[in-house]
Amino acid sequence: MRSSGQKPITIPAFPFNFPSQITIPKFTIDKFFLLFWFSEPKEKLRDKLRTKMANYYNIDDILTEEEFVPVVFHKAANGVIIDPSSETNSVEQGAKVELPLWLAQELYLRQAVSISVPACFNQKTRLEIQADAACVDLKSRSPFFYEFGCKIAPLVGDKTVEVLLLSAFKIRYKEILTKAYTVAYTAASKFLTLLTKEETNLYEAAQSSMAAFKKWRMGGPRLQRASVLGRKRKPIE
Amino acid sequence: MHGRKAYELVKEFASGEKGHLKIFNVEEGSNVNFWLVLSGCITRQRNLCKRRLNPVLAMSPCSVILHTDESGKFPESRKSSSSGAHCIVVPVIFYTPGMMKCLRGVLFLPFIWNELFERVIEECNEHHNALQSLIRKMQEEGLEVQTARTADHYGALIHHLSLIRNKRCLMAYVYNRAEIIRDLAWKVGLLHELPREIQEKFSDSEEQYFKDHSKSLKLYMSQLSLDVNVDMVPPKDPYIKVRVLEDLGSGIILSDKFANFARHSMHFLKRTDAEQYIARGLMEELTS
Repeated sequence: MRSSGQKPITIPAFPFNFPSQITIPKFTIDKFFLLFWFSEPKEKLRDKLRTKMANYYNIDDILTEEEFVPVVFHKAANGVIIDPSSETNSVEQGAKVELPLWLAQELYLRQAVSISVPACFNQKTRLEIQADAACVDLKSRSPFFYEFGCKIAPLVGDKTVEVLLLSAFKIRYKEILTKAYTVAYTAASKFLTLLTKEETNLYEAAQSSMAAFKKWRMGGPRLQRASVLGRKRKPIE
Repeated sequence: MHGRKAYELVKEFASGEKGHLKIFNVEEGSNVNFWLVLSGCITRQRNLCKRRLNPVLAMSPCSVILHTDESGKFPESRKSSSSGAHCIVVPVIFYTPGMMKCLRGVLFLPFIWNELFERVIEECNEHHNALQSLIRKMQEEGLEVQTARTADHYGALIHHLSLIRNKRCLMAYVYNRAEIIRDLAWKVGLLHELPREIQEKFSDSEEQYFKDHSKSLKLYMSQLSLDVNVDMVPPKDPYIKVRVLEDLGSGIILSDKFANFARHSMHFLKRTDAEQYIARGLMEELTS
């Protein structure tokens, strides 16, 4: 939020050649922000900025990053209430705790923690997906199963997570589209509880395209009352 | 747990119906634009920093934390004499990487905080205090704050990240609401009053935003002399048959005629003229 008249603040020497000012929508990263950023390799930082800032205001992205992942601390940290088993307000080296993804990935990039594969990608889930991906209840595992998986895969360095996600999505994609066009609404409600957020969007898109097609074929009024206004109000007498 | 309070706001937002607004999470009756006051105050403080002190001390709002008064508690609401509204004194603190120099400005918010917002602010305060005390501790131990990688550093880092997270959640909450409001302006028609049940969910700044957005769009369209808000699909026939659903009175002038729109009367209108009435639910399109 820099007004046009002001000169950008030049930042004195940093360990790496960071541009003095990165403008991203609505605010500017300042020096204080960088205090905790130095230990990161340059390319990683740039990549992270690019992907993170694109989704800065995205509600789903925020919700995805709230999922918990198991981590092991390599460095001790004072004055934080994270480890429930610890008596003091600190985390010891080697402590195993669950952290939300947003915190875990930042700490991981500074080599303070290592992340292991979260429970929703465990062996049991894998076996179930291999058996029949379409019937697995992914929503209860994580409502953002795919997004979460994509975020976690590079962090845990497990190549099989990506394969798992892809194969699960391929099979389920087909199933969802078939059901969206054929199944009556009452029968679909049970099926809908198994879907993740992304799959629900897909399902709704398929249904609305179907409805639009029907409307086009049958004809009818093109212009309608804005749906946000809700049902018809009672006329004012 | 750390950095969780603002997330609840976002969660609440996400649980709502798509494209619909919930009541802005601040109690009704507040009459001041919180975000404007906050950012205005911050800008003032930054300019002060730039002019009088070291330019390095001037921080962007990214590093500004709402702070309580000396006692560490959120101050009691006070009656402000002029408007009669409640007033909360919130000193704003600026902290910097090099030295933990604090500058306090007093920010008056004639504003009653909703419980959830209050909890977010409280959590931010806790994080801020913890962060500050950890950095101070490191300085007392004679460590270089920027390069030392002690347990205190990582503790401070976690608090810092929690603050950033809270900020992101709050920003996303306000931003996404603004997006819905913009959408409403396009859908319902510009410069028209929204129905009460929607309007009462706005906060005051959002109401202003809606008005300003419609106004500037109107201005743009009048400069172009083109209505950009009409249906994107070209019509087969420029005229459509409509039925009036509510009494609109007789004083309405359309582009090519002057008609008396009594309730249940039927008319043959230009589609572009009828569109705004249909969107607001005052007319309906009839198909043969």
